[in-house]
Amino acid sequence: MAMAEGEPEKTSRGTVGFAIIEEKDTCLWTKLPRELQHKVFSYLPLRDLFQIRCVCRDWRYVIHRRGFRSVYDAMHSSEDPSPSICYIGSYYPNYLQWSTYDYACKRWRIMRSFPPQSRVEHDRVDLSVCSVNGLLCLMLWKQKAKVRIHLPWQVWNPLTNKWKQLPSCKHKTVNRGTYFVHAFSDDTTKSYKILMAHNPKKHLYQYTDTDTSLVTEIYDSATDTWREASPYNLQLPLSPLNQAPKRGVRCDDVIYFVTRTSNENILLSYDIKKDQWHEEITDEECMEIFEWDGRVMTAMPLLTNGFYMYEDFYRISIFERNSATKRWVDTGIEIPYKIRNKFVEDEEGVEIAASGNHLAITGYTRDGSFRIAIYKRAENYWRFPPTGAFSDKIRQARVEGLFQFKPRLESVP
Amino acid sequence: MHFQGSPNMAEKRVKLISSDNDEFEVDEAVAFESETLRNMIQDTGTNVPISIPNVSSDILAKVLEYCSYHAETMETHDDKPPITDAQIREWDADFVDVHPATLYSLILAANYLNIKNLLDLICQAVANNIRGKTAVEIRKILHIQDDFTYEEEMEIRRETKWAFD
Repeated sequence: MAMAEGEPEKTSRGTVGFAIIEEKDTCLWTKLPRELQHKVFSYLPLRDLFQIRCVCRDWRYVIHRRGFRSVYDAMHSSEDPSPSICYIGSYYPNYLQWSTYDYACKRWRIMRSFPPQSRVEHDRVDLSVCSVNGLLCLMLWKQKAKVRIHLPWQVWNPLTNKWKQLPSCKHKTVNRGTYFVHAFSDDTTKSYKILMAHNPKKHLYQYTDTDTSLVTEIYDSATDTWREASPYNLQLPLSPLNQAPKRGVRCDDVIYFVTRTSNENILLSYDIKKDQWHEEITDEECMEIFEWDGRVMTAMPLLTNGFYMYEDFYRISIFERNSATKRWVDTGIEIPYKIRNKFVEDEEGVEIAASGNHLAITGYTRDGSFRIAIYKRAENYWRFPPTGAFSDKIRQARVEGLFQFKPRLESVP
Repeated sequence: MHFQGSPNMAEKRVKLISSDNDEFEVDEAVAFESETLRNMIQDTGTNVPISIPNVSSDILAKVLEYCSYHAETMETHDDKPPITDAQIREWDADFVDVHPATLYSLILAANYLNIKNLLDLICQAVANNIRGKTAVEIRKILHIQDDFTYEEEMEIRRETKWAFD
């Protein structure tokens, strides 16, 4: 686009001014009442809405007008959330960028960079991002002498660029053990909440029978405070290999996490309404879970008894959890060999996000870069959309992963 | 009070007078596409011509063309196949393919006459005219004065850089 780079095209001002004098009776836009101007703007896709902010002062501030924001959000509320990925630049100080996938243009677009406050000068800083109500909740942590320190959460609306640092929670400094995090919305109070649960460990590489406590804290944006939830004791200590914070998956009023004890996979769940934790042993192949329109899903190998030797001996399929039987049921959606073969199968694995007709998979590829595969359910069609400039920059960068983002102008951190 | 489907409904005609004093006569069902006209007719009946002082003849003709077509799509004829949604969309697309100045007059008319579908259609059309254009092009099309200082323009460029790739 011509406006994107270079000097502002101020030279045209004289011409435009002249045109107004000459054809002042055709200057119709300014005759439209504000509510009709807003109605026109509400039909614009997000990127166009931001591009037209360069036209004049009045248009620049339209995204900050309360009346317009609610009209715009309502108009676009039925759209599928777009899968997004987040990465840290590989240079210091750490620089955070993120990208959303545009289904219409079939490409990834880099979004506005995180606020400078999210940059940290420390070595070995990692991050976790959750998306809720059009807001991005960012938690940074650093590893220092085997102690992990969590910095206060930052919550940001990337569209209006409003951000806020949350108060520190009680368990901000943790030694070892698994962390479970999830951001979710409370529809009755129109607030967002952040759950942090921690299973502290005494030793890094060793089990201790007493390592079973799970402490839970929940932030509520309505009161801007952290509240400690009921304590819980796990049936078995979790594996010391669970290091990075795990993001949850919310279905109905339950948040699910997959974790491991020494020899079993555990589906750990927290009931928001009842303030209760629950554990169940789940399939040993179930490593990651994701949500698809209110259902808990996973991707697992499908074992076949036939004589056919597949290219790679097994198939990977998408499974849905049946909450009544607590079993995983094959959806019949298979991740084809040509798609999954592109990704490296390491402990980081791939990440999956799904909504409506679309499913997206991200992960590292064998050549060290980063790929995204998109699946369309109705068409039963897999593809690798071009990543554009993003893929070059993402090379060698650490990627936080995939999450769903639904833009909302009205959300306030 | 007239109820839809009453036997003499098709014969009821409504007289409308534009801002340039031209008289238009349409079926009541056509006028009923407009919420404003419906209320007026229900208040005063169809005997008195209704004056629409802020809509000119050419724009009113255009609005009535829209209303007639859409009232017709609601009717069912035994001898003709019903009009499909695709046909309606095609007709609507042709309808809004007019000079931008006409579009803006139509917005105001549709807003005043409270014809929701027409208003949605035209707002969408105006938004499509803006889409994908540079700020300079938009200012030219809509005759908007560039009122940014150099510093403001640079700042907004920084702010919105992500939206341009």
